[in-house]
Amino acid sequence: MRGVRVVRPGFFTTVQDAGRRGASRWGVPASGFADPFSAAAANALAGNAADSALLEAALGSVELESVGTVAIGVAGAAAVVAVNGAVADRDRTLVLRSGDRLSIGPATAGLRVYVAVGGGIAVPPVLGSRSALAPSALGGFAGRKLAAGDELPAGDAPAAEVRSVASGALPFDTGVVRALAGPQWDSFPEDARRRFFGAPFRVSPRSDRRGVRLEGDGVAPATGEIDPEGVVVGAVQVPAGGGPIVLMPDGPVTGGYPKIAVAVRADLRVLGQLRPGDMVRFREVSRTEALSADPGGRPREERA
Amino acid sequence: MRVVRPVGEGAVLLEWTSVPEALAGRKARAVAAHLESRPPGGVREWTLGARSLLVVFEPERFDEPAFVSAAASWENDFAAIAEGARHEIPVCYGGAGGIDLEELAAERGISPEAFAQMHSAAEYRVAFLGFAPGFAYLTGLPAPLAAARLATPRVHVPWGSVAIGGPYTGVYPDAGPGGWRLIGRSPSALFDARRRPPALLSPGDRVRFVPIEEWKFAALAASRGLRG
Repeated sequence: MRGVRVVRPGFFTTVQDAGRRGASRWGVPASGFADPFSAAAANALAGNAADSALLEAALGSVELESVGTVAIGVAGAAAVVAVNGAVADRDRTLVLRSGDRLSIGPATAGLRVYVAVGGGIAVPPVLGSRSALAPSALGGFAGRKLAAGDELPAGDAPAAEVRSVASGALPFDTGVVRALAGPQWDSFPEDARRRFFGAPFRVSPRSDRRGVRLEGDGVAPATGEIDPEGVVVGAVQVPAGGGPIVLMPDGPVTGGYPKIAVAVRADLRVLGQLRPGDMVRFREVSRTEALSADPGGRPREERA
Repeated sequence: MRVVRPVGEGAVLLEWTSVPEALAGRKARAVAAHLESRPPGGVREWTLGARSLLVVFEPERFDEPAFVSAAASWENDFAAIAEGARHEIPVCYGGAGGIDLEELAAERGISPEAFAQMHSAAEYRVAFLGFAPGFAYLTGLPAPLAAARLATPRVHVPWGSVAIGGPYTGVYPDAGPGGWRLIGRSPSALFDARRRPPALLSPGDRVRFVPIEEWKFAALAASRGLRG
């Protein structure tokens, strides 16, 4: 096997790719990268296509050992990266020889660190995707978060070559998510609608890949529940007895709570990097603005 | 009456609000059948709801006005809907797997046996799937059996639990949290990612529940390599 062996798995590290398509009819969430932008940057560094399977590590603190020679790309949350104990430049491809140790420190800003391996992580696809849906023990590596000793095979890749990617600093300090009024906008009380856009919300520690749970007053729920309907990642549900929940990739495919807003796709990267305790605000944009919203530009690859 | 709502910049919800839910469901399935057989460019995903269809698309490749006007004729093309399969799902009512049965029956002034008998006498239809892989929302629950969900969901509902949530009944494919009221347990495999299709139940399928004894549940579960 060529690939990586897990020495320290971190808190919640899973295999993710661009997610499942066409599985919602069976009740299966899409899963996939919580922050597609950073995932694409990590994959570009490793010489992979943007949708290749990689490791998504919430809060960092991961150590991997190389099995054979592999190209590694790291992107996403701020964390110190070291190879065999020496601090490494994250903006360049890291080429590891067999037995080399890659260590990623705790995430100090942002939540999720992405680690791509040249050739992609070659776990078997389930329902058309290698993404883990841990709550259902489906896909990924044995359907679960990684544990020490796990061996992750890499797919075939050309000889590792060093690239640098201008990934653009992530706006971790802005905490602003652009959003459109949701499908049940009209059923919310007027003061809730007025306050939702612009009010500060705090990210709850109960957030996970199913949903970012928000705390903060300012959003009275709409009257009652609705007939369950299909939902999208980035939809902001407001249950009767609690704060808003922003649906994330492992969230359910249908929901019966009214949705006050829907985040623009370009800002899913911001949602995917929110950590417990962070503050976030929603800014209303028009459909035209949403369609031209820039996620911060595509990661630009330069040969080094 | 059909309502068209944008859901973000890359999805649209078609909702049939003023017709009976069963008819709304058929209209949604008819549109889904057309999406299935001749998907318009740019469609990424579609999801049925109780009386709606969500279509997720790539904005730069999808002609939304053309789709919305085409859907107006597709929604009445019931011939496009595949004939649903019929399923008989064994269920052991009450006992350790149906911890809410006695309470629900007492609330209605009937015996647990009568409650189970009413539940197993009805024919159900799969309206849509959601909540979890393979979890089907079944319509056709006799009105007296409808039961409000728990205000606070249970942290652990065993796999195979047969339950009632509002006007729906369904079976939990896997263990996990859940707020529906538990009336029994089924040994059937509702979801298996290695199977095609992975979910036992598809929208439009018809379902009957067949009462079984506890020993039979245990034997059927054991034959799947599962313990209660």
